Amino acid sequence: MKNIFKYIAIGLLTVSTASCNDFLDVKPVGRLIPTKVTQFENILNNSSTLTYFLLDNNQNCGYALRGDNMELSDAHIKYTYLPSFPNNDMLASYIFYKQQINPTSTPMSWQYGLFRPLGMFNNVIDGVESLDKDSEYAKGVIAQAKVGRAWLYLNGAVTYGPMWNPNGKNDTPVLPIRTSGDPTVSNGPLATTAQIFDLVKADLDYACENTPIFATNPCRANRAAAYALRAEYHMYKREWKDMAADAAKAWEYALQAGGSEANLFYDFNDFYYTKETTSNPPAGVDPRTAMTFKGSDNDFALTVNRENMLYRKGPGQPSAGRWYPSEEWMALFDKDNDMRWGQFALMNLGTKGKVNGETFDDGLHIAYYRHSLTCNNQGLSYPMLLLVKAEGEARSGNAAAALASLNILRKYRYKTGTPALGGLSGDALLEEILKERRREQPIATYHRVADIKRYYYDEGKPWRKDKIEHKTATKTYSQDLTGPYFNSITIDNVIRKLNPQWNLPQDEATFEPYTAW
Amino acid sequence: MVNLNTLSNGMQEVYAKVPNAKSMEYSPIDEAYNQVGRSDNFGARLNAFLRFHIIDNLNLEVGGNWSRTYNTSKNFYSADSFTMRNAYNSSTSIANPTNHYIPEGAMINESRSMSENWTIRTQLTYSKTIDKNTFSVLAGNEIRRIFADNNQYATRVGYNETAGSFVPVNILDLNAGKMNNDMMGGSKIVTLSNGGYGLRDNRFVSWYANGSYSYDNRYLLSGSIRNDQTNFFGTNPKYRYKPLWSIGGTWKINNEEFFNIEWINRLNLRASYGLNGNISLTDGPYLILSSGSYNSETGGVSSGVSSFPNSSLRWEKTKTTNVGLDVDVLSNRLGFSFDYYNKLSEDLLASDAIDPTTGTATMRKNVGSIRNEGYEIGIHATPVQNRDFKWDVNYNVTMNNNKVLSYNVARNYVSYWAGNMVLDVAGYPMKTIWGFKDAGLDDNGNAMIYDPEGNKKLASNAKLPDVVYQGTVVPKFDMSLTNNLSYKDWNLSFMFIAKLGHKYRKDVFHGSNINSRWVGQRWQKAGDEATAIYPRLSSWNMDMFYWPYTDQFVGNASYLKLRDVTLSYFVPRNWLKTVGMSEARVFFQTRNLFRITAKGVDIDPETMEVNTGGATGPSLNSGYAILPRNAEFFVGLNVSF
Repeated sequence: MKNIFKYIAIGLLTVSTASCNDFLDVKPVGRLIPTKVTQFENILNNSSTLTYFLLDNNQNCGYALRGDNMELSDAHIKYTYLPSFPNNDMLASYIFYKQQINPTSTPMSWQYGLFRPLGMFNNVIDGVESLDKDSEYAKGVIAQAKVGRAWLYLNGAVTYGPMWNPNGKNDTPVLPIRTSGDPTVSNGPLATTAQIFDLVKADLDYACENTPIFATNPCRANRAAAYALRAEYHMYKREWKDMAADAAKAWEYALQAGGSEANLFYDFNDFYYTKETTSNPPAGVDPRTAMTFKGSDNDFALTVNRENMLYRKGPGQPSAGRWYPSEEWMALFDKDNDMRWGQFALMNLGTKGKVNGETFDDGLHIAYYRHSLTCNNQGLSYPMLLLVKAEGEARSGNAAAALASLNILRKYRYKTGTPALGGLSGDALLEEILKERRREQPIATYHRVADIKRYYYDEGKPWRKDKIEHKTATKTYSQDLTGPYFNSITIDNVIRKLNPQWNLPQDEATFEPYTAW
Repeated sequence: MVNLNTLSNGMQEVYAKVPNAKSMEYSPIDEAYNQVGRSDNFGARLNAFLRFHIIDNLNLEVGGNWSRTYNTSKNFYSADSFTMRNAYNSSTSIANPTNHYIPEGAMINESRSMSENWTIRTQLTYSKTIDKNTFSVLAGNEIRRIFADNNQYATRVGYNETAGSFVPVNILDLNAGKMNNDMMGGSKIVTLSNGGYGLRDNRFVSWYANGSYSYDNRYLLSGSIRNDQTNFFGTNPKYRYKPLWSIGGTWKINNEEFFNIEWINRLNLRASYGLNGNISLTDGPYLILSSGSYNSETGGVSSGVSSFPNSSLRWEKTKTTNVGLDVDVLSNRLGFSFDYYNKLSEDLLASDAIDPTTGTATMRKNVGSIRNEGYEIGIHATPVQNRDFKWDVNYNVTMNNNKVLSYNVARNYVSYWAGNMVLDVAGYPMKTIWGFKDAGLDDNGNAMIYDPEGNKKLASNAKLPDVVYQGTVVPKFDMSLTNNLSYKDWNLSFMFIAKLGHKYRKDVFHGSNINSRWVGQRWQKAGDEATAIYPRLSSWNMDMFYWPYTDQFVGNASYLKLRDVTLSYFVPRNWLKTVGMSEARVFFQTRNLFRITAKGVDIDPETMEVNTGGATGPSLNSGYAILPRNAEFFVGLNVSF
């Protein structure tokens, strides 16, 4: 018996004093030091890769108020945009206030809309490249991350900086280029428009070769998205043939991914509202605002909405308390036949209430519900791809193809039986395509402002504007397209201080747009 | 309890069309009975040690312990619960009202977990006395594993607890909201879990040694050293070592020959010095991902970056010096102890704000050092002691002085200073609060503050220079006084505690938290600013991020409390013998009977002072809506056999 105890003791002694390395070499579970491509790939499923691009925390796009799709009433300005309102950059945009943003705080859109997702994409690229540069699968994951990075930088370049100037050097410093996932790698100088476009092109060239034809979810790019984004790159650079060619290729891959054209669109005639109760809204308000919206499937409000090619979360709920659709935007629609208008532009109450003892009531106003009732995508979509294709074809002289592309979309957007467009060519055709583009775009995102900026180079054309005017009942605010609101987004003081190499001075003035109207 | 009707007229009409629709009446009491949680635990524990006498005074001890615990828990919503009735009605298909996406029946969430911990310890001890010299050495090692494997099953609905049946549903699509457009109520109401795993495998290896040497029971020297290693940092041994050591000595003066004061029973002088260390367990030289769960928005398992590669971290070290004196006199009836301590913590690990342009807004760094020094004085006395009656008194007081010597973190935004948090700032005490100088309200009811020049400005325009120091939440003095009185079989003890010299933040109405007790005292019309303290009401405002942190809402958190009073009766032992008991005690105890606070303080500072992590939001009292500690009463019986 005594011997048994001795053996046990010697055994335990041996175990406990032997080298412990094997025992400790087990990785802790619950967290992951990634060693496989799939582990990096899962970063692409993180919602942080697709949110807050040019959005604030209440999910408005203040940048959109620089454009001409939205308007504010006197009541909005006087009673909504008060000193304690959280997103006064919306007001600043509308009245072209001397400061674009509050310089003392870093906007959500900088941190969470641009550089956090960029950091994630860069980590995927760095991580996968360190493990496997050759397999089709690894290259596919890298390519999807590169599409994500290119989307941010392309749209970041044309919003944070001036539009690509076909006759200029494009050497305005805009944004820092970050291609490393390691946050200890310091920011270099601000990259110019040309440098950012070069990065975007390199990423998209790789992506067009390597992105998988099918993606599990529109939150990640398929090959159609890679080509569609490169078509947009050419669109901004005004390389029309390349734009048309890439868009055509994207369309080809889209049909392959979707199986058929019908699988890439909702026919807006199929949407309907059901009345479940006898409750009635106030007089003059569209009764559909109190009804249930229905469609041909149950996916239209989700990221898997069949029209989504690359989902990026956009603003959703229209807010009568903050803005209305502009008269100019509403005038774009054929109100009898365009189902985007028929289904989603609903009369509702405007802003009303009582603030500081004063009562106000704007009465009835149209609110646009398309992006709250269906998925609020501000990334890439199949309908928009058709319009990019049509524009590229029209601008490169292929009017017949352009008209055909336009008419495909019209089938799904106009009242059943509306005849296809015919007989248009030249500027008339292009103008119709651009109008269709504006009708199809989300109303309250950066897209329209970016378009206003690029049309500036369409000299002499009817859709070109050289200044934007915002009106209320009592005032007009105006800025030329050469002004700061159409060539920059201010970088705040803290980011400036942390990056002295950018040589941007501190802005010491107090941000008080509510005093300027 | 009256049943409450929870539906609007419109929804009543909707559900009226549903065949077999459930009642939507709600009774809070019935609901409590219809939601049941049950947890079953089974555990086993084994301890075993073998001690071997190897040679004279040298012993080997080998052994360890092992434990394993199983737990299963179930949370159950009965078919009759309001939650399930509501879910059944709301998830009725519009296209086919006989179809309910959440079917008739109960809902059950079930999980099982297993945890296993074991330790193996080997220890050598040696002690020897030669004349007046006594040595004692202990050395050993310890291997430890903490392992857990937990599984949360997917939620089951349509559950019938009698038959044991359930109805499988498509949780993936229900959670993604795919069917919401076909649901009469627009949502499924209940939360369905996809299920999930929780895994843990933490491993530790430690080596340690203690030694002491005593000469003539007058001089005592001791030392210890310890090294801990863990598997937290995977394969790089560089990050495993955690050295700790200490050394100390005691001089028992009353055992010296020259010392011959009879009424002093004990006179010890003590001193020690030690080093403690920590390394970050959340960061390392590798990219560490957080392993996420299924994300219905993106349609895949989502991972995030838990921490970026960080090879610049050093050990966080704390050096502690302690000097003490113990004196007992008058046959130990009166005693006094005094300690001075000085702790210097260096290379403190904390999150530093970095340029968010780099992809992350924070990174763990070695940011600074803090000195903590102070005195502890203890007095114990027995003023009365005779055959039937004994009175013991114990008094302890700690005076703490701490200062942040350096702390290199970036606080570039006003919100990084003023908020529901405490800060370490170089040149100030630990855990300080910061905010603004209050300047009342403007004529529109907006909150105002003073800038450094004494000008009034809107609080929502606050800038960094407007931020001022407001105090620390760490008490300067910490005291306790315990009295213990025994009379024959009766015993009465009571303890007072006090903490003095620190601050707290008051709860406020900040413009949007309509549940605040101060909402009625807000600004309502021009002219109110002359008397009203609180700003105007609005559904959302930015004042809530500034106004609660003005200096008028900083209070004195000092307090004294009667922590507990216990009255015990010991049943005479000769009575107990007859029933085979060795001891029996009946007692009545009450806790937190009363408190004394500074003038104007109507909350319990003890519960306020610990709350430093609350968020700011429109429905929150700035995160400080904490209830006081209630008075508690206990009646108890202790028996021993």
